[in-house]
Amino acid sequence: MLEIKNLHVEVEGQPILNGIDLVIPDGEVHAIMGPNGSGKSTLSYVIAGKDEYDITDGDILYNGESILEMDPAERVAAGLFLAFQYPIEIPGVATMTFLRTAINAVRKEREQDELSIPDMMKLIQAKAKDLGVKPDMLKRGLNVGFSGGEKKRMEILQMALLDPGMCILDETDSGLDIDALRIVSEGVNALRSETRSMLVITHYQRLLNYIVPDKVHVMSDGKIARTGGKELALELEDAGYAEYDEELA
Amino acid sequence: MELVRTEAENGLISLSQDAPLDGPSWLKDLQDKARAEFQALGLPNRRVEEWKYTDLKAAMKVAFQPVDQGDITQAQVNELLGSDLAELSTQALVFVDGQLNEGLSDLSVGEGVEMLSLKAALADDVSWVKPIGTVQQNERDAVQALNLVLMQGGAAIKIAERQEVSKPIHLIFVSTASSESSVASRLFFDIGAGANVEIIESHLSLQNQASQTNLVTEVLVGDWAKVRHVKFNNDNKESVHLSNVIGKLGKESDYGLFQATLDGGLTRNQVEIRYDGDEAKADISGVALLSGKSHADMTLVMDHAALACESRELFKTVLDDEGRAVFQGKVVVQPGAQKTDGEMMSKALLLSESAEFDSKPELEIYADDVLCGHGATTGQIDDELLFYLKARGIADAEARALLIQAFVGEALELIENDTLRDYVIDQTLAWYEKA
Repeated sequence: MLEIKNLHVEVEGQPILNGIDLVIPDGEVHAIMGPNGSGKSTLSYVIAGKDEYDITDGDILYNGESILEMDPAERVAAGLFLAFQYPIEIPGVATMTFLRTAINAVRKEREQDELSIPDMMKLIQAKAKDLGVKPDMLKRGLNVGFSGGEKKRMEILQMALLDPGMCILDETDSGLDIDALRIVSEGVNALRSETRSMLVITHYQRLLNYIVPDKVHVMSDGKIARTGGKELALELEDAGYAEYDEELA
Repeated sequence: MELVRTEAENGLISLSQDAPLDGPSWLKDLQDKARAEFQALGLPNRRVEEWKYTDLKAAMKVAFQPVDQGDITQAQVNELLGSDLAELSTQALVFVDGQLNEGLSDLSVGEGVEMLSLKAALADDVSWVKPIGTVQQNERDAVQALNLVLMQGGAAIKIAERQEVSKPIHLIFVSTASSESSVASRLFFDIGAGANVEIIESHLSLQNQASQTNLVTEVLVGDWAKVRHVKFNNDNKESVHLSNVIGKLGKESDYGLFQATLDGGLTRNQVEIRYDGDEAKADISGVALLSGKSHADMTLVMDHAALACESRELFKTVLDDEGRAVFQGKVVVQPGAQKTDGEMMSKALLLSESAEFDSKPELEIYADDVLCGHGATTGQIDDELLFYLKARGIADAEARALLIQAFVGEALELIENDTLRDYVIDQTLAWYEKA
């Protein structure tokens, strides 16, 4: 369970999040929608532990414990996972090497045995196949020369491999055509379970046709402005964000 | 004006009164000239343009003395090499404290391959070693001049025309001295037309004592020949390692040199390539990983004197602590060397505020139809990349090591031999763990 309590965040003295309250129980999928600049991505980065943000008030608890003092790698071991909106290209780090390093780092931190190379290869290749990640991509530099869809599939592959309890998907639909969106969504849906929660951040309702949320929150000006069921997304699709966005209103 | 000489210069002049190797009269003439050159030039210092960033005169306080060849067993040599290199199937020549150790070396004559100790080759005045001392053409280079007089040993290797040498030739230089020592060695290669050979050079120290190494390698690459040459050194932090690789490339030949420097005291890897035949190509690359107060200088001159030749240079330097690296790359395109294609890139990654990287690329172009470019970058570890790796559960230190590995990886990819490449990768990983 993820609990965000009265979270206030600033960047270089500029307030971005102004008191977020949000609870995502185990097994639920919540969506956060909102206009550009409402603080959606900031929230995802703050949960993941990026260090350029000043948390001026509030707390984030995961399974009852505050994660604010944990570094990003510890948060991953604890069960949090952020799928990036813009996955980073790292030339010179082979994708397979990166995946092996990440999996074993997390297993070690979770006091699980490291996987042998053959077991690791089997695991990675099986999950890669499910997501339509071609073997050739695993040999290339991480995300180097990958298409938008391939990068997002690689994010979901990492999510599947690191076995998180709480997945945050930051604008996973951006830059995807309809086929890629379907494949990525199927990958995400396959990971839904009673013990795993998800926070899906998106600007558009389209993604939520594929990944159907239990709850939808509208974010505006660094706060949750409204919460509803999945039908709220459809309402936003029709009415737009004007009601929530001073500049649009 | 009266020259004020340093203690090291006086020591070197006194050492150079007698040349350790007995050679024919042509060599004695060259040595007399070189001795006079060194006396006139002294040790290079910051007032000499090519040594502006590497003041050898200031850094080298005293001249260490050469030592007699010490004892070392095959097992000790293998241990120093590490299992990867020791198990690599090569024809190995082992030089102990500057002398070829025939007991540890494999001097068996393979088909089309002649290997002689430099001492024997000069004593017998073997005809094909006559270019020794003349491949180097720079008369203003005090270090090269000094080597010609002070060389104690080395090897002369001739590869016959069209010979495909199956095993790499591994030149292993080991210092066994239990105190400071100096070593001056020279290698001479005569690679026949159309031949194909791989050369590996390792520089090792048994007792990790400070040493002063002066190494000159002269390589004549015949027409259509292909040479792959990899050199690594990992010297003591008080050591001075001066290396010169001087190559002359024949028509359509292909020479690749990769040099890896890990720490050390003061290291200068100087390379001078002269393109003598049309359409030759050279790929000169390397990595330097420097911590503490290590100083490494990569100076190269690519002298295009023929048509449509190609030069590629890629250097990656990682600097921690007060490490300092110098890159000086000069591409010269002589009048008439049309269609020259030169690309030079030097990149440094600074891990500390006190590290320093000096880069001086130079193009001297006297032809109008050429394609030459150079670039240099200096940067730090990218925070976005670092965060991405950490957001995948990889701890800070390991994430940094991966990014450093990725940075040098582009250059390491250029080592064609898989075992050697893996060896260099392991060495670099060991360096990050230590740093």
